Amino acid sequence: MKRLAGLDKSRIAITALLLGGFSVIGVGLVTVTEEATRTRIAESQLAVLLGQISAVLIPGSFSNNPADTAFLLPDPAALNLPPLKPTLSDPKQAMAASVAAGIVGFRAIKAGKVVAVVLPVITHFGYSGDIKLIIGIDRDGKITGVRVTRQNETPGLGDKIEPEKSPWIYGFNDKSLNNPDEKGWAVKKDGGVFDQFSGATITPRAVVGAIHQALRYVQAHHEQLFSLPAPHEAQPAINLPAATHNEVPHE
Amino acid sequence: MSEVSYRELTVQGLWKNNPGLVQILGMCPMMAISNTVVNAMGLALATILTMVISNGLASAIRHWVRPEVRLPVFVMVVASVVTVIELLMNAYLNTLYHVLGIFLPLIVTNCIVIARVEGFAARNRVLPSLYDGLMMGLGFGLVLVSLGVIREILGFGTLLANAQQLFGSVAAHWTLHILPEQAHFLLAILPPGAFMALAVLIALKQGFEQRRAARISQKQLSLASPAIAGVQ
Repeated sequence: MKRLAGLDKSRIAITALLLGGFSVIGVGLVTVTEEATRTRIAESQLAVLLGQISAVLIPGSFSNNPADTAFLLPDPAALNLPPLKPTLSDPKQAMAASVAAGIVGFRAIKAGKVVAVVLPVITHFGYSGDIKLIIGIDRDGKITGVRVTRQNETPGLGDKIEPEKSPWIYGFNDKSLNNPDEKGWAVKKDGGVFDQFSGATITPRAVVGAIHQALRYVQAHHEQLFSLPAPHEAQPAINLPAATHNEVPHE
Repeated sequence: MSEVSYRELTVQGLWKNNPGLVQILGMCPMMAISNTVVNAMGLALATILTMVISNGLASAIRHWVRPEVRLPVFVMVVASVVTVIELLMNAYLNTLYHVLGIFLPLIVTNCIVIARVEGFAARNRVLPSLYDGLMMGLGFGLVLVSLGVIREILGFGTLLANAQQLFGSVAAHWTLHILPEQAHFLLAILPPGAFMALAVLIALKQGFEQRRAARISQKQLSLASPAIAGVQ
């Protein structure tokens, strides 16, 4: 009896060691790969980000790399953006997380002046789930470009908001709060100026609404958005709640 | 241990015991990611790689792993392999990585992977295990890509759209436009279309088998009857 118990114990120990050993090997394998691919992943993510930003800006209108200008937006709830999680204490890491979450704005700069801002906006009124957009708006409040960054709309109907499927999204270029007027910022079915798609009104209505919302947002926060942060605040400490943080020095 | 025939492994993986058409395993990614050929190829590639490497590793460690912990260890092996592949795809095939989304990490839960690891690799030498993983993976991948072909042609009217996501910028103009826009059959790219297309593939395979079986029995009959005639 005693011997059996002893045997059992060593057996359990060996089994546990085996399981532990293999976990260490597995974790090691993943860690090595993670280490080896980290820069490459960061690079391709940055390239994707820069591609998205450039797509909504007018080429040649700016001279900086807008992807480097990530800044926290005042009142993110006004763009339906999720709040930031103030969990990361390292400001660089926190900013990277916010960039990855798509809740930051970018500035296109030329000759020390912000010529346009690029903002994310989310609408909850999509036909199937949230639609995420990225919008470029210049100093005069004119749209320089709009792209969909995430959507799950019905293929063949609602997905015409993607430029690969239809040129519809280009119809917002050069539009502003006064062009068309307040009433015009709707799909034609609702008395506005923007086309809906045959068989899909909900998706374009949601997108038009979100873009209008972004324009009003820029009007409300124009001064903050279009003034350059002081150099020492270029990398803001963003572990503070966003609402209290936006004391960007005024011009 | 009896010798495994590579020919038999090939036939089992690609046809007789095909994961997609006969075992009907791994349906979730099969349905979700087969809407275009390029997506299907991407997932097929990741699954094949996972199966080959997991089978190989599981077979290599099979003598050290005690039966009590065999399953957890194998799951860990599969999970590590998938994570490594996921990281590599994120680094080198970034756009495709975003298209495949959650279905890439979910390869861990694809039952066909653990089924082959547990059912074959745990009992066989490394080389046959690698080969079994390759054939079973190919069997799964071929069905996935066939579904992709059917659904993309019917639903989008194209073939190989967005090939650059997988093959790099040389493939940017590989897209073939097969059907005009008015002829697109929307249902094909929606989930019901996936089930229907798979049903058609399964039916085709069954039909082919039945006809072959019928032909063989007829042959035997016609071989047998002259003998009977000869006796008379």
